[in-house]
Amino acid sequence: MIASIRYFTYELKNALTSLLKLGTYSSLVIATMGLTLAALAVVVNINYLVLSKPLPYPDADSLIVTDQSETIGDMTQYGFQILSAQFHIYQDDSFIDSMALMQSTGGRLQEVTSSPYIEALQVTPEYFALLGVPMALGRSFNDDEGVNDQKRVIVLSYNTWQNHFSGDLSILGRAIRYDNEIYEVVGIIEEGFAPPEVFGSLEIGGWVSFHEEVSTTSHWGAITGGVNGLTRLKSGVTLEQASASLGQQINTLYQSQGAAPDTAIGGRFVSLKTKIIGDSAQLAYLLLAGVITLLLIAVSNLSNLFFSRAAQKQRTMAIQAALGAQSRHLFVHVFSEALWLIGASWAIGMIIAAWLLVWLQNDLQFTFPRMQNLSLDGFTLIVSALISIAIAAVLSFVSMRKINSESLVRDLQASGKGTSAQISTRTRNLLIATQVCFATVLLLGASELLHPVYKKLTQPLGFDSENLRFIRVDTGDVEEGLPEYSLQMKAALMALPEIESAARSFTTPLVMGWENYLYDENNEMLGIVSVGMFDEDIFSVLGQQIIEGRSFTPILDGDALPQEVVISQSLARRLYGDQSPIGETLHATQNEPLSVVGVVEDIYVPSTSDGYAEERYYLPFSGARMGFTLRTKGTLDEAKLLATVKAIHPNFSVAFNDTFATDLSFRLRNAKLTGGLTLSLVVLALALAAAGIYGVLSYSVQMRRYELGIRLSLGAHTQTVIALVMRQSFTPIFIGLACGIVVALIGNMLGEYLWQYQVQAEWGAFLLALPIMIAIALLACYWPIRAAVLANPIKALRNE
Amino acid sequence: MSRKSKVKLTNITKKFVTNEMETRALQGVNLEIFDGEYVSISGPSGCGKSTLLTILGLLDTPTSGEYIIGGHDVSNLTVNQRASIRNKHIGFVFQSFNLIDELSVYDNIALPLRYRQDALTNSEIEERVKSSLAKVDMSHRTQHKPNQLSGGQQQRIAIARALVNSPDVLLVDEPTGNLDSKNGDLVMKLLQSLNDNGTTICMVTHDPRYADMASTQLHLLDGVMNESLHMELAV
Repeated sequence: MIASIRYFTYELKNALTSLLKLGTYSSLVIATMGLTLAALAVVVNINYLVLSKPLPYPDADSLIVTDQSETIGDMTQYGFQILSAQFHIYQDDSFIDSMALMQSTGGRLQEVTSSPYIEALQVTPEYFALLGVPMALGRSFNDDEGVNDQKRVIVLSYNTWQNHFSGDLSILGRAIRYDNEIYEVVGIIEEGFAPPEVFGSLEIGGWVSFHEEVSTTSHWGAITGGVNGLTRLKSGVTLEQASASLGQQINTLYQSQGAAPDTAIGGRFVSLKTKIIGDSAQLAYLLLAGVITLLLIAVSNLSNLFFSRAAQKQRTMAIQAALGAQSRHLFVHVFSEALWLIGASWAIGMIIAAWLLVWLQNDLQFTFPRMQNLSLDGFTLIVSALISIAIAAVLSFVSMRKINSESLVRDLQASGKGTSAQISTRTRNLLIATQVCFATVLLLGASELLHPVYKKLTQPLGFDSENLRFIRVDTGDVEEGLPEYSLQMKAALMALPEIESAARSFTTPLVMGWENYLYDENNEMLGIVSVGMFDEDIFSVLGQQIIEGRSFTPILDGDALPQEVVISQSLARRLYGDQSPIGETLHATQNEPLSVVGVVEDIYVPSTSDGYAEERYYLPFSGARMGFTLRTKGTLDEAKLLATVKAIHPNFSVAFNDTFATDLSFRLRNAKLTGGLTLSLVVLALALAAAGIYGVLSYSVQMRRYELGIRLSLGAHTQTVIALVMRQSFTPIFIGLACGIVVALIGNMLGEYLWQYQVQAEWGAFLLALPIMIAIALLACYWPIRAAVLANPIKALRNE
Repeated sequence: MSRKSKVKLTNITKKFVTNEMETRALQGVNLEIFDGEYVSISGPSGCGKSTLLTILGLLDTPTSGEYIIGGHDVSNLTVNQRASIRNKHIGFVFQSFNLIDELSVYDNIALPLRYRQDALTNSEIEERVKSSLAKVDMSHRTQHKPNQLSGGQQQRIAIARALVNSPDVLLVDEPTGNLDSKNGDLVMKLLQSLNDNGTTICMVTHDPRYADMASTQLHLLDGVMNESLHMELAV
């Protein structure tokens, strides 16, 4: 054993000395493998954190949340909850062992001068016990601080406490103002606690008590993704039993609250982990598939480099064998070099990966759950190290097997010092075909993924978003006369020289507001459609063309809104076909008829899904909420804006002020990250494949130089020789391309069959991907031949 | 007093088959080399000298026949078993020296010791390398790389490497083929003195002048050993 270690150490030392002299070879291997391992580590890290790493809560596997369903006709959609339905489940004691109600909220921390916006969760006391929330200071909520107890208490996150209260130890018991309410601070949560991302990747700064009245009849009007219940079922109760029974109960309640005809709700419990993972699993798996393909390309690349090196070392190994070296000695000899190279690649790869994770943290957090405190996980380091060692071992073994014992003897008997060893044509062709095949698979897969991303990033909005911004005024404790104030505010804003036009808006047109039922003139359900509330000027401010009819009648009195509706072109087409919709009647609320006065162009606002809510309807806005869509002429000074707001009422302040550009860039962030990651993988893969093909062919041309020299000296034209070699090289390239297409098609079918993953066959993307691959292969082929053939033939004949 | 047999080949044949054409490189070769003997095998180019030497060195296997070295029948061994026997019983000297350019003189000579089944300590290795170097009078060049030495010096290092494991027999393949006459003579003188000190040597050469230096001179022609001469000299 000791002797083996001593021999291994000896070979390691020798290998290092040899590699230091082989700068180009070593750097090629390290660059190829380092970049690949970096990409692998980033993707494995993401996959591990998103899919495999246990949740950091006690008995986390037994935690579940609700995924409520809403059915209209025969269409069912999930993900929206009703607080009253959750409250009904909360009160159940047949199936539920413990449950915490949760509602996503947010507001300004007015206690602090800068009044920062803080995301918060409204929770019942059970939340803290279910998640085993560790407290740094104070306590969590008491049992008498739950729903309907009308207590206003708050627990702050460690970061909020440090950043906004400078870690003040006397904060406990202090009454602070948050979102226009006064809360008593009762505790601080320990640093590093990561709350489950049920409502997305928001940094939660505080947890507040449910102080408002909630009952089984109170909140049926609000269907939202911002409410849920964290639950642990009684022992022996299955998810199916609870879902069936409680789902039925909440539907009965829903129907008793005057539900719209032909609609129903249901309750489906899912594990907390499933809820957190959500749709991100698909992207994580796709990235993993991509990076595995990249790894295969890199390994094919490396095989060529290792085989060439083995051929180069054949004479040395022949001498070793003649002196009594056994297979294991020769393996250790080859493996030592591989281990140094792959070890260095691993070290460099991990440094790059760690840097990439820091660099991408904010974007990754936006796209994937569980990315808080992101760093290279121990799991990733171990997995990538094991993969690296396995690659080194396999390539060493295969390189050794490539050495032909007969040629070893020939080498020893050769009187010269040159080596006649080379990689066989079959192996070279196999390497080229493999690389082309993997690169084609990756390129085809990526083109399918990139096509929708590209479409999303380049889709025109349908209106001019330049110089547009949305502001919202916080009215503080002023509750009376808001429509009148909003009219005054609009006039004051219009008077500012920096503002070109303004429209009162319930929310920004990018958000619209919510999805709402729409009924026809007979109160028959037409479906759920995106709805927004604005005043009559919104279309001119946006620059959104009115195709037919007009905008709303000017809204001068908040209590006397015109009974009018403007609909989008797509909605008009669905409802009325070629008929003019003007003068038709629709209902947003049953028995409250609205007359269609206008049809506007569709707009395309990017969202997390791939499609667009092209069907929209617009309702007149009373001004009860102080939101404004503005088209500016220049920079809008914040102090000046605040002064304008204060001039209307001293208690008013600016709650939100941002450009459409910022919002749009936020909405496209996911697409940009997906595109960026995919594109990086593709570029890396194509670069590696090109380098690989170039490497194999330049080796091949080198081996054929003498033969090519003879052809040239006999009068063959340069282009004839180039064409000859290219023709021969293209056989494995076309075989690789064909295999790649077949593998991609099989992968696609498997994906559909096993995971119901639907790929829209984009023939355009497909047809674009193939010429790219062929062009890269052509270039990689042409370059080494060109260099060999353009030189004077005598050089080739003399092997100079 | 009967001499101890080091190597014995009985009825060895070697055929090469290429493109449905059969070439008989060796045809029923019998050869026995005794302890302390200096055997030369000579013959024209293509007569089978090198083939015989690769079979003797266990670098290749015969098509038929029996081969005994150091008392072991090595006719049917695995690759690794052959490597072990080669390491323990055979020392090789090649025409092209076959030193590893990346390794120092010291490491080149130590190489066979590192492949031994019974591993040696570093001090034991050092002692044996130094002793071998002393035998070829090259003790002053341990840290040089092979390409920093002259051809004659490189061949002396190759001989030191062949001796380092105290083999039963030294197989020498055209030792002067890559050397000028002066260096060639020096190497042959060295081999002679090694034999005088008890080293068993089997040398392949086409140079009659050097073949004559051996105590036993064998001739190969078209794969057939001239046994009469062998017997005559052996007696």
